[in-house]
Amino acid sequence: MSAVDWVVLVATIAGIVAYGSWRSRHVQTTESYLRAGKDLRWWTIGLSVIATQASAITFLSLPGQAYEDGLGFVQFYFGLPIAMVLLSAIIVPVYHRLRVYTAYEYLELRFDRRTRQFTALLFLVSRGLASGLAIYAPALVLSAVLGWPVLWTNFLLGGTTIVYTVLGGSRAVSRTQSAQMAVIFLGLVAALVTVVTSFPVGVSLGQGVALAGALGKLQGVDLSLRFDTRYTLWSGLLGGLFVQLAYFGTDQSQVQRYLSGGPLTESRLGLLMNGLVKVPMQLFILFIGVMVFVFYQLSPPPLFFNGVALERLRERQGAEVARLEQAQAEAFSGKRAAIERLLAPGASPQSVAVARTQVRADEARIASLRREAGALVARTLPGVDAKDSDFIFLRFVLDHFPRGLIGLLVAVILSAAMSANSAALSSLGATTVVDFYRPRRPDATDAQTLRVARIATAGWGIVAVGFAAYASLLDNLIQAVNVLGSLFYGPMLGVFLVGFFLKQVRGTAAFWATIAGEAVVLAAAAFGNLGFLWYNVIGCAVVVGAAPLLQLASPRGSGNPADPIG
Amino acid sequence: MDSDAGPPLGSWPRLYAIVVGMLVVEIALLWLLARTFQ
Repeated sequence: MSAVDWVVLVATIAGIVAYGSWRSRHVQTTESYLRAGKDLRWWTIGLSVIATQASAITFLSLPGQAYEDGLGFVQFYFGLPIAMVLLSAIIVPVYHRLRVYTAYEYLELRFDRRTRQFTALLFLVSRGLASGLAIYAPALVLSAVLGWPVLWTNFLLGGTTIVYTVLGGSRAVSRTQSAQMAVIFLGLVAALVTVVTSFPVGVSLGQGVALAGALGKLQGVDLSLRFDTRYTLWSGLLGGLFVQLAYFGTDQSQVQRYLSGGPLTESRLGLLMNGLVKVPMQLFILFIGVMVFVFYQLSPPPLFFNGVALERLRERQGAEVARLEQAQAEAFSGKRAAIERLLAPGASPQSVAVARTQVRADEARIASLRREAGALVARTLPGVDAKDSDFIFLRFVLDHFPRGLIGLLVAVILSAAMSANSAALSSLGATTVVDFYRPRRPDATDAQTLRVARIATAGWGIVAVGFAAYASLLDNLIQAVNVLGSLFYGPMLGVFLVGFFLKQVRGTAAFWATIAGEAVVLAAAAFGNLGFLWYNVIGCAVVVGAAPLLQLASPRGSGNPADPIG
Repeated sequence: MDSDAGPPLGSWPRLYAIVVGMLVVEIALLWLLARTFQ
C-alpha cells in the first residue's frame, strides 16, 4: 500500500473509533451500557442491524463466491424480508411490552430459568465461535497487505475492537455503525465502478454482463427441488426464513440492536428497512464478484490468488509453478481469442455457440490448474489453505485499484469487521450479565453489574481472538459462519415459537424439547448429507413437534403459564 | 417505551406488502436476467 492509502485507511478508522467513543462518553450505568439509547431513530437502528450482519467476511468471501459460483448465493437471503415482516408484526412488540434486555429473559417469563439459560448458552457458544471467524477474516486481509503473520494481525484487530467495545458498550456500537455503513456503501460503489472501468478498451459493461451470462455466472435463481443442493429458491425461502427469523429474533447480537430502549415504531421500521435493503445489497456485492470474474476472463489471472503463498511456493517449487503458469497462459490465450469471437458484433448464433463452448472448456482448464496450484500449496506449505477464493477480491483490489482507493477498500473491510465484532462482543457481554450474573446476584449494585459487564465483554473478546487462531483451517469463511450458526439456530427459534404460539406448553417440556432438537441437528450434521440450511428447519420442527407431545406426557409440567402475547 | 403511533409512511400492512412485493420483483428480475443472458 502507498502512503496515500495508509493516510486514507488510518484516518477513516481512527475517525470512526473517535466518533463512537465521543458519542458514548457518558456511559456510566448498566442501562446505558447494555442498551443503545432511547433517542435512536429507525434509520440508525436499520443501519446498525445491517452493519451487524455485514462482517468483513461478507466483503471478502461474497465476491470470491460469486467468482466461482455466480449469483446463486443471493438465494440464501430470500427468507430475510419475510422474516423482517414476521418479526416486526409479532415478536418485537412482545419484547417491547416485556421491557427485556435480552431475548432469553422472555424464556424465563414464559417457561423457566433453565430453558432461558440453556438457550442463552447455545447463543454464547455459537456467537462466541462465529466472532472468532469474524476476527480472522480481516486479520487475513491485513496479513496479506502488510506481509505480517496472521496471528499478529489477529491480536491487533481483535484487541482494537475489544478496547472500544468494552469502554463504550452498546451505545458505542450503534453510533459507530452508522459511520461504518456510510464508508461501506461508498466503498462498494467505488469498487464496482473501478472493476468495470478496468475492463480492456472496447469492452462495455453490457458485454461484460453478456460474457458472465454465457459462462453461467448470472444464474441467481435455482428452481430445482434438490435437497442436497446448498442454495435453491426453496431452501432460500424456507430454510433462509428459518435462519433469518432465528438470527434476528433470537440472536442477542441483533436483538440488542433494535431493543435500544426507544419507541416500538422505530424498532419495527428499522427491521423493515433491513428487509428492503439486504437482498439488493448482497446482490450488489455478488455482482462485483461476477464483474471481477469477467475482468479475469479478459486479463490474465494470477495462478493462485493468495499472493503471499504463491511467492513462497515459487521459492520452493519454482519449476512446477512455471509449468502451471505456462499451461495457464496457453489456455488463457485460446480463451481470449474465443471471447473475441463470442462478443463480436453481428456474430451468427452458430459461431457464438462454438465460441461459448471453447470459452467454457478453457475456463474449466484454468480453474483446474488453479486447483492444482492449491493442492501444491497445501502439500508444500504446511498450514496454508489450498483454497484461495477468499483472496480473489483482495488480490484484485491490491493489483488494480488506484492509489487511495486501496486504502478506502481496506477501510471498508476493517469497518465491517469492527461493526460486526463489536456488536457480537457487546451482546455476549450483555447475555452473560443479564442471563447468568444478575439471576445469581440480584442484590449487586449498578456499579458492580457494570464492571462485570465490561469484564465479560473483554473475556468474550479474548475467547474470540483465541478461536480466530484456529480459523485458518476452515474452508470458505462465510459458509463456515453460516454452517456454524445453523447448528444452533433451529432449536433456538423452536423454543421461542413454542413460547409464542403453543400456550399449553410449559417449562419442563420446552426444556427437553430444545435439548432433543439440538441433539437431532448435531446428529444430522455428523451423519447426514443435507444442505446446511435445512438444519434450521429440522431443529425448529423437532422442538415445535416434541414440546406439545412432552407436555401431554407430563400435564403438570413446571413453568410459568403466563402468556405474554395475549 | 411502548408508545406506538404507527409508521410515518402509511399502515403497517401496506409496509409489509411493500417489503414482500419488492422481494417478489427482485426474484422475477433475477430469473429474467439469467434467461436473457445465457
